[in-house]
Amino acid sequence: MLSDRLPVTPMATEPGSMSRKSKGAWREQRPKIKPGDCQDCVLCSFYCPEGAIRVKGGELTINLHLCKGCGICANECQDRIEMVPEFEGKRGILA
Amino acid sequence: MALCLLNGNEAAAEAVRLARVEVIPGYPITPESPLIEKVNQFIAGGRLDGTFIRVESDHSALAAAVGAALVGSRTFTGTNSQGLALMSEVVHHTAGLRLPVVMAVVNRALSAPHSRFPDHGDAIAQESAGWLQLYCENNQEVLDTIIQAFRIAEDERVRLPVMVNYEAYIQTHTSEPVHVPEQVVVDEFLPLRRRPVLDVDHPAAVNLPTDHQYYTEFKEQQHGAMLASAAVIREVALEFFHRFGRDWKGTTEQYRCEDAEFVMVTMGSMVSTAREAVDRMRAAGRRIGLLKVRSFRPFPEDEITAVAAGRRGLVVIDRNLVYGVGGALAREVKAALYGVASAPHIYAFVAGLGGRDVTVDDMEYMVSQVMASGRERKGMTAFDFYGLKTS
Repeated sequence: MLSDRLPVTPMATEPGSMSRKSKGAWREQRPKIKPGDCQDCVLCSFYCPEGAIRVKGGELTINLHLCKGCGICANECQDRIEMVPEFEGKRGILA
Repeated sequence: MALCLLNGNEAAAEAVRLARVEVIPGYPITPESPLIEKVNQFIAGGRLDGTFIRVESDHSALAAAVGAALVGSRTFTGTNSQGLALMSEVVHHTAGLRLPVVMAVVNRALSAPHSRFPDHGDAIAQESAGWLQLYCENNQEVLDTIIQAFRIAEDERVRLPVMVNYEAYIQTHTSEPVHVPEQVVVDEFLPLRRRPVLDVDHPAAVNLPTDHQYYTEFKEQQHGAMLASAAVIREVALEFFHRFGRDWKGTTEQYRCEDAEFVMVTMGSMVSTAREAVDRMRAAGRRIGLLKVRSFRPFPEDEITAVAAGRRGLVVIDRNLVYGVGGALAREVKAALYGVASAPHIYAFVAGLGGRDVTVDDMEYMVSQVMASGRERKGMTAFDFYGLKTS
């Protein structure tokens, strides 16, 4: 369990450790690349506030360590990007 | 072991001395002030090798205690009512940081209107802060419980702060014979288990911003420690009994409950009154028992359910009021019994607010009312303000 790996007292034990942490960990939803043709318009990349998207020769890559899950890319390009829930584990008695 | 005549504050101070507490930040407040005075007398007289930190508020007192506990010192403070309310922010910090601070809470009514008299409302207001809450019925229990509290708080399975509650004036300013144990026996029972979180050679940032990614998991850990503490409280009480000969049972104590049709449930100083009320009613042939709730947090649901089985009714007496709900103890008892088949009726009284005296006669009257009423109270149970003046 995750809680077994957490310190008893909430703390960071190394200076600068925050900079090594993934900035995407607080994301609630993530962009998922849909199959299809890319027009190479790079709007997704332009609008991404985190600089997490690279487009090269019709190839889309998303750096999930930077992505916060805002969904702007999926709004700009509904053909190639959709937002899916980040959390896929147990949600309670119904899931 | 010496038998001394001590009031509740003096008994608490003796416990602090015997526990060899190292750091005591304090901001005296009536009627807890004599506790701080007595602790300082021990330090000044060379009987306690501890440091007293003068601070500018109760909030700062607990903040200083947090600092001392973070570097691994055995730490104690005391407060009551308005002081506890002012501390509230740091009360939550202490538990969240999992620091084994022990605090004497002299239960005094919260303002407004202003009052200096006994009422559990101050500690009840902190019920969800993550501290263990133990309630004492007499001054001997105050001394013994503070010594036990350090063992419980410092236990690896717990690592949570503990409030030791006793009441304004009824306990703080009433002297009773109290056995003060020998230092050597306490030392054997209570070795210092130093667990520093901060270390100058290994810098760390404590209480750093934690988003939703980990907050739930930290809270689940805290909850788990609170649940685990119930067994530790019982274990420590048993070992204390073996070493010191006084048995405070743990989280609850049953008094003359065998074959009882009705069981009174209460905590704090009202327990000692209720014992006499039970004796008197038993002598009159009435089948009455008493369940003392010593630990309000963790709340001993299993023991409540066990004692409730087969009774006609529970008579819960609260010296606190949760506005719009009733007494907190009655609320917890009802929650514990929800869904339990053939759970007894629960008759709830709010009594003794702001220090109004609750006597043996009063308790006998409450139970008589319940027995005579034959009321079938199902579903949401009302409560009564005992002794409410109507003219």
